[in-house]
Amino acid sequence: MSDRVAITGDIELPDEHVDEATEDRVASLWGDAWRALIRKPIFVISALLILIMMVMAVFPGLFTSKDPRSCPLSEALQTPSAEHWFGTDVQGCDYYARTIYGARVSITIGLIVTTFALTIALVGGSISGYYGGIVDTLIARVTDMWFAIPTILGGIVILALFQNRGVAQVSLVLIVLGWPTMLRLVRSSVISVKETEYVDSARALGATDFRIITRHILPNSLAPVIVYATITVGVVIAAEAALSFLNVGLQLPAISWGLMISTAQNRILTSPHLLFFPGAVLSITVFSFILMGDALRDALDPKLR
Amino acid sequence: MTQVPLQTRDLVAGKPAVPGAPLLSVENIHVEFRLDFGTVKAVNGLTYHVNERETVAILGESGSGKSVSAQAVMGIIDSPPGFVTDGSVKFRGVELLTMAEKERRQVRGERIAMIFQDALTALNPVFTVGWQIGEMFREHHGSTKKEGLDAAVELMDRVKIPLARDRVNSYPHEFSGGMRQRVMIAMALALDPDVLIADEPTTALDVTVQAQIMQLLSDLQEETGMGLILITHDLGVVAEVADRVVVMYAGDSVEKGEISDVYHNPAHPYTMGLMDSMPRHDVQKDRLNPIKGSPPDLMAIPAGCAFNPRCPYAQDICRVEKPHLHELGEAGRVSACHFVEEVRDARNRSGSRL
Amino acid sequence: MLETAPEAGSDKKLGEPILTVNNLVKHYPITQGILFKRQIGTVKASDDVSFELHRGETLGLVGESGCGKTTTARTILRLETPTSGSVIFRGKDIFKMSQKELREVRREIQVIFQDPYASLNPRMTVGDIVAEAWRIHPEVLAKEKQQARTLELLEMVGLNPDHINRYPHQFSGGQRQRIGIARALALNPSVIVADEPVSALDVSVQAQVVNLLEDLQAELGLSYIFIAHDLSVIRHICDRVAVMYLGKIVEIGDEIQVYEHTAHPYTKALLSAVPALDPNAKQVEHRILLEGDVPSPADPPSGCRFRTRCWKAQEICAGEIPELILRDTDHPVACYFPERPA
Repeated sequence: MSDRVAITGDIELPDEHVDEATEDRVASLWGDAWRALIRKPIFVISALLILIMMVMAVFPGLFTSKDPRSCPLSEALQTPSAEHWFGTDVQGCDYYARTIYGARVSITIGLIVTTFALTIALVGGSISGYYGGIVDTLIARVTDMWFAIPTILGGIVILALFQNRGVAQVSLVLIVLGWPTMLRLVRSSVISVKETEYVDSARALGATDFRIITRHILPNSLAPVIVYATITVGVVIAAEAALSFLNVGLQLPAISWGLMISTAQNRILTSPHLLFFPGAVLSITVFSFILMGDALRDALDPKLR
Repeated sequence: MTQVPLQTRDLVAGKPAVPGAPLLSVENIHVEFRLDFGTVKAVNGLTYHVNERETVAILGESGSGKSVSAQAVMGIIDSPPGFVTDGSVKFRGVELLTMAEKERRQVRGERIAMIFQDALTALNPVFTVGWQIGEMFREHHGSTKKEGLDAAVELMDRVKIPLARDRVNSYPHEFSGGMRQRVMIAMALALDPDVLIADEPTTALDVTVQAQIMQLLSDLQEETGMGLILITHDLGVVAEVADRVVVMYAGDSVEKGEISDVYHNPAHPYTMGLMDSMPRHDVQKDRLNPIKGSPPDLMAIPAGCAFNPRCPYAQDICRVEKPHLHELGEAGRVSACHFVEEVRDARNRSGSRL
Repeated sequence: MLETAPEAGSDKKLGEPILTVNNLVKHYPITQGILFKRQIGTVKASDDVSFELHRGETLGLVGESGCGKTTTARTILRLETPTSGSVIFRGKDIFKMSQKELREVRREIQVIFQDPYASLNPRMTVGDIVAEAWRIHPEVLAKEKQQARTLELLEMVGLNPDHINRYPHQFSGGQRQRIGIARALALNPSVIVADEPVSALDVSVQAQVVNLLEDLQAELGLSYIFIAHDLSVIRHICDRVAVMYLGKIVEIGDEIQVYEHTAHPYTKALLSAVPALDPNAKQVEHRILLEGDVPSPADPPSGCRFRTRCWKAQEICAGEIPELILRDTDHPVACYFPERPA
């Protein structure tokens, strides 16, 4: 059986050979993962797409000189042309400009929600997983109950209570509904790392709980969480679009892909381009995050390498 | 037990067996694994054979290729990434490597069976042990469910699982490690194989249970006359049960011979190093004498003799030319060392022998 | 109560006790239920274990899986919460110490683990792993001396100091175990608990590490509690040996007493099960083949725990638990019918 160790890449070198063979390989696991990633086309493509979306969100002016809010009614409902690449909508706004500006809301919500949910999950999951006992039972059970609420249904119910729904409100609701899965993931990851002998070694050295969690447990339980968080960004962006589409998300005059799709649904037969462009960009963005998550999973899981 | 009629024993998957050929012979076999980051040369020219009623031990440390070579014999290497690139495996003189998978399957399990180190993962957790043992009969002999179960009880008795009739419907996790290994042996013996390959069968077991299992294997061998190939890193187990031993290093044999010859008068610096590394429970020993360094990288096996970077006797030629197997005086005794005579003399002079 | 017996028949002078374990008990509750857990049983992993560790000696704890040797060690280190008993170190009971006192004691008692793959944090460099001890105990070594000391320690355990910035996965199994040893030595401990430190290593590499541990002991005056299931390794490295079965010590004595004047039937069976390295030894013929498996520690037999597999068992063995005392033997044994030297 032990032979298999050798063929999965864990090679033992005689001392003299270590010097030559691994001189240039002084690298951390993260470094190795990075080198594996940049050789993967899927990662490179998804990373490029995400990068473009990010730049679009921060500097929409780089992609279009048109103002998405200047809407001459006389130009309403034009099909794509050299002047208006994506055509115009019912109010005569340039649809290309609106699609570009829509990225900001989607990406912002995706990142805010993921960041906050991740923070809750890291703190709660570490405490729950590391300390165990009654604290764990409490956190785990509450998480499970929360977990049972379907995101979209819960989102509809809660958001319907708000009069004004902006980025903050929608993000808040998605954070409130989004943390349980991630917390469960952090918790199980922490529990498995907690049992390792290097954590015992640190305890035997007299390390404090804080040190053990931050230096030993979290760095080693982070990989699956990062993968999941990446995918979550995509899922949140889709959820925001779904909520806006259902008229419980963002409200006009905000510019978001979900709203654009929502308004387009009435004219799907007469002006299909109104549905197609925001729909395509949304799909590409969500897909990129999910692809990137998959690429990360392969790179960070040493068993697959 | 349904005894297989003798005349079918002369056929191997429909081909006539060669009279007088060894039960199983492996010749110059090469196995490599082609991975993203390079090619791992796991087995590099191993040759050995086993006869009826004989126990041959393949002795080696991790990465020596001992398990991979057995998988090659069984034809169960995952391909890709694993490839048997050269060599020959003959069962009763019939070549197995060129056989079609369908024919090979008739040999596997029925004529050559294998047991593994980790009986818990080798058994399917969702089926009862009786069902799993019985499957062998249903699969290969077309037995009914009832017949399969009866045969399972009989086999469990034979491998001395107490209360077999009551336990035939238990699941693998309800058995202890030793009992699970017995279940695996029962499955392996189900079709009355000619050769049993045991890959580290007792490594996961406690020493008192190991003694039980080794006793069982040798009783069963006595009873059936099968050839036993024992793959292990444990020099003690080898000394106890093997008739002959093949010492492996970096995918090839460095020394072969009758067990007492090899143990009392090792003829390769690696074997000597292993012996001197062993602590003893029956003798006080002042100081162990380890081999320096660690086993080689199978992606960059040293040129010449693979052992040369760790060998205290290495000379220039050892770094250039791979030594072939020199025949020594004793029966079947070979050593892959350029300086076998000198090395033996040096060892005998220093008086460090077992 | 066990009085450590006078070490008759041994002319080796024992140092003063540095660590005394008295009646150590570690029971794990078996619980059922999700929200409201209730206890449905107890695993008696380590049950009334007592021994002394003397300065500069190696005490072996040996036994098969489930005998409680690792639990005993982990409880001494307070990696597990003890159920009862005491461990006296420098006149103080480790089990009663506050977290602050415990931190101080941890400088003195260090640990080496079995699995060289799992015992090193894969995201830290070798230098960081060794130096972590001083991050936790900054009073031990000034910051500017840490780098030099790390290099010194790596050299001491036989690693190339140039590899200080490498990560654990770049080393072989034996080299990783050396890193673990260097980490244990960083705080200049007086006691090292080694839990199966060579069991995962190949024979040739195992011998390197055994020799290293012996050299370090001679050089630094360390005391070892050495846990292993391999009787040969234990005999080689240990001055005294305690044999455990189902949570209890059945026999304790110096290496000669336990291996040559074996008194407990279990030890006898255990020793006879070890294959001899000599093909002509005919050990098989005198082998005591034990029947069956080790009973579950959740439901051990009454009286002597070995009686269900013992060929000498009589009625008395099912009654009172035999104490670990001298019984016309040269070392303490927990058996009503011990083997005695002829």
